[in-house]
Amino acid sequence: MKLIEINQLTKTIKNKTVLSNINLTIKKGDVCGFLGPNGSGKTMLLRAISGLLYLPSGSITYSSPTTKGVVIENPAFLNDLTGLDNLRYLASIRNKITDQDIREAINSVLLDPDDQRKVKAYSLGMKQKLAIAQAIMESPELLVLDEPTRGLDAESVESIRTLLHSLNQRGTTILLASHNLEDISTLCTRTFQMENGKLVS
Amino acid sequence: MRGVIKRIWLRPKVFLIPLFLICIFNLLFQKQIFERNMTESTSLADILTYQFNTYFYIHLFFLPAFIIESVSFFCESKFTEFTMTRSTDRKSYFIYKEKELFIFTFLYRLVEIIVSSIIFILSYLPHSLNLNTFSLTSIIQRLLFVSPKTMLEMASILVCVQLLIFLYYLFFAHIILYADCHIGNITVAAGIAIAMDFVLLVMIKANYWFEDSFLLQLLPHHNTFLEYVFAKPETYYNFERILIAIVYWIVIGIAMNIAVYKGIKSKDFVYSFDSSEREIV
Repeated sequence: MKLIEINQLTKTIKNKTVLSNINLTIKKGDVCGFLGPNGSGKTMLLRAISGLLYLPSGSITYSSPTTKGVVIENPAFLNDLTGLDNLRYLASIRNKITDQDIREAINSVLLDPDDQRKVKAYSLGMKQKLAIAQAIMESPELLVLDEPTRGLDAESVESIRTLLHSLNQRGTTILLASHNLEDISTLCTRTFQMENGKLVS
Repeated sequence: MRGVIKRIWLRPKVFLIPLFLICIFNLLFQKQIFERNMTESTSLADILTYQFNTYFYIHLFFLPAFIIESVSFFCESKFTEFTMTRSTDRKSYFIYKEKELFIFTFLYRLVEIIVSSIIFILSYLPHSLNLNTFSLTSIIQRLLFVSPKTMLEMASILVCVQLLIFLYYLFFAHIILYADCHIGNITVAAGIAIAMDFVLLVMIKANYWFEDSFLLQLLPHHNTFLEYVFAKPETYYNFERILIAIVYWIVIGIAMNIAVYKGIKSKDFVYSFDSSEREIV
């Protein structure tokens, strides 16, 4: 069953074409991996699918209103709040989950929901895990993850892969951009290569 | 509404500093109004009605505090990636931002009214607790060109004045959101709003420049501060005139809404790699 249809998507920023004539169909339950060198357009494509880019040329159509969980590279939080409070803040936008759901999401990425430290004291890896927790906490239908295992230790990488696999088993569609070939090969059912803003294979 | 209140509640620091400033500014402003009244006992109605006619305090203290507070609450930089992607489309993100802006401004203004009242009550009321405290003293009536005859008329003045102030604050909140959308830098957004604040103060101070202009009635301060709203003898507390001022700010509010919507609709939410500031694209 079709979830997203991308047609002739082209995006130019500051006179530079960052995405060029992208055509792609993503089905429900797919785990799609995007590979490519730096600047090839992987992150831009994920931004476009997440709704973060204005798209005057081409289209991205969802078969139905779809809830998304998004992690784009170098996630940023409200530094003066704890990890739990950051997620409570975000959860209050949709107002659909309980405090217990938020705690479970934090636990599932191997962080402590009762950690009283502010996010500004978090390491890069902890911020990355918190970003994944915010993406999954509301059980979205689509997960858009840009370099999800970046900055994580081996144990955490393994646990995040297991987590993503189990979410996919429950029907979540996952889009993944990574330099880590192992992430792509162990998780993805479809793989796409990008180069100079184009899907080449 | 519950969501916005929860988000404010989660960030008490954002409110604590302005609350402290509001208390200090109120002490200064109330001292001035007591001095002005001298021979008469200042009333709570004086405080609540006259507050917004002390241009100097409003433009140099109250509004900058509100602007800095709003910037730290609305402008989320890279964190926007998380808030924005929780909306299904740009329209619902715009509605989310507008709702947040409206409730935040309302609560902020409510805090200001409560703090003003508490400071007045604590410092003054024990000496003269009587019903007159809910009516305007003659000095303030003369200054503002209003003379309510009944309690109902007094209540309508208070409601209209508070509504005007709220709409004026809402205008500044929109300026911040608009600047943040188009320029993408929170420091610049705050700078633009504060510059606008000072421009309006200069317009008040240089009011005589516009006195013969047919545009006079379209100037912001002629639709905000009672001293100007009722400046001419024929407008001396004329309900129609205050209604025009309210409509004036509602129209400006709608125009700002359209501008912000257009900004959000065509914006690329792209942020720089290492900084939490927005990348201008």
